[in-house]
Amino acid sequence: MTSKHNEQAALIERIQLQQEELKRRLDEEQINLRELARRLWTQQESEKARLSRELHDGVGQLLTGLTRRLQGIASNQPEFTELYDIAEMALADVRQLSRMMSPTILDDLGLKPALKWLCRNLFEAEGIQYACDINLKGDIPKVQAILVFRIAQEALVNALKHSRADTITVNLAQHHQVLRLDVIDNGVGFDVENIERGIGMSSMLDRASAFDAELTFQARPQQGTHITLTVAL
Amino acid sequence: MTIKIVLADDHVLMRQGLSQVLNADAGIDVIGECGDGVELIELVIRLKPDVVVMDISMPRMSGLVAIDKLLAQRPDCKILVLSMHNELEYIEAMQDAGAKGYVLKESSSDVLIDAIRSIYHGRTAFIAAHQRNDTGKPARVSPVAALTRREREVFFLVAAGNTSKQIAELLTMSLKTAENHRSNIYKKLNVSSSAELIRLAGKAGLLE
Repeated sequence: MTSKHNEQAALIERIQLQQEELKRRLDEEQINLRELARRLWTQQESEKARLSRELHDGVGQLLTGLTRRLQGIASNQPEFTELYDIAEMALADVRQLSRMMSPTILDDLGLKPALKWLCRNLFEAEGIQYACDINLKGDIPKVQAILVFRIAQEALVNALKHSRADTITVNLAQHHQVLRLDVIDNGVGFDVENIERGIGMSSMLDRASAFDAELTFQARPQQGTHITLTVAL
Repeated sequence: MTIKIVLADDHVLMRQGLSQVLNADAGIDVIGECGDGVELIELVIRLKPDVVVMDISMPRMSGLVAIDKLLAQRPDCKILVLSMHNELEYIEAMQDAGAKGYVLKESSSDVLIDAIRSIYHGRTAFIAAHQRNDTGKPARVSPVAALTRREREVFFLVAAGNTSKQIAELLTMSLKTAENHRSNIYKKLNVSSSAELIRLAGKAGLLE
């Protein structure tokens, strides 16, 4: 009897140890995966920065040269004015693309001006009313700044493309060591339960979770969309 | 009396070119050059230049932080920012940080030298937004033609980067009046921000 008891106890202990070992390995895997995800996002960011520089310094410089030449010609021969205008638009588009790809304003000036710039760039020309209210207590570390900026960018571009909103609000606030970003629009919204996650939405969620941030979507058909990101500093 | 300049830009070719252009002017002497913000602060403390001409994007210490530290060390330091960015946010951020002027890298050397002279004499020199190195192309129709005399004054002050509050002070009017003028101008010119107004003014060749 006792020997059977002892046997059982030993067995239970072994199972417990095995479970602990499995749990430890699982946790380790999770940490590894998260680190991998983080590395991938960081790599993507530096790849974008490289492309952006090439675009700006390569095509951008060529177009600058072309634009100047056409400007010179157009000042004597007005029939070339249209060509000059087209070249100038192409130059402006390349610059815009390069800046959206890698916002140097984030490195140069920080998160607040970068978000204001983003809103202005996306909405001013579209005639969309927007408010961008940002309250930060100090400098935000680069990793979190990039995360907040990219999530905001994705959310705002989505709002612009799909929501048909005429008013968009961006709030960024800091409470102690937590940053909270809210992006709210008054557009067509969607059904959170029944939506098939698009690439944009999934990638926002992936990105947030890679950096230990929490991202939530609140939306209902015809009642706008509210996206909230919270991230610890 | 020559104006003593310290020049900071991490692009060596750009810096050498600038240095040559500036030294070619009899009234200007480049007394020091450097390629990052940390060196810049050392140089300014050691050489006591009249005007600092600096880029924003530099290694080791960003331009914004460098301006902050420079002004903490020498509050009377006159800083002219030389940048490739023509966005409103850049100009505002540099103005808020305490720079006295902002000129685009693509501007002609005359524009740069004028800006240096202006801020040396205690004025400000904020120029911006889609300004071209005009080869003398006439403005198609001057946008200010539709404005009243008072609105034109306000227009040029807005284009020079002044806030409504500064305009109110400069023209001795109430803030409310300055803002009214501003919104009337925006309506008449069909623009919705000072950036657009500056861009319009730049395109019409009104910024110089």
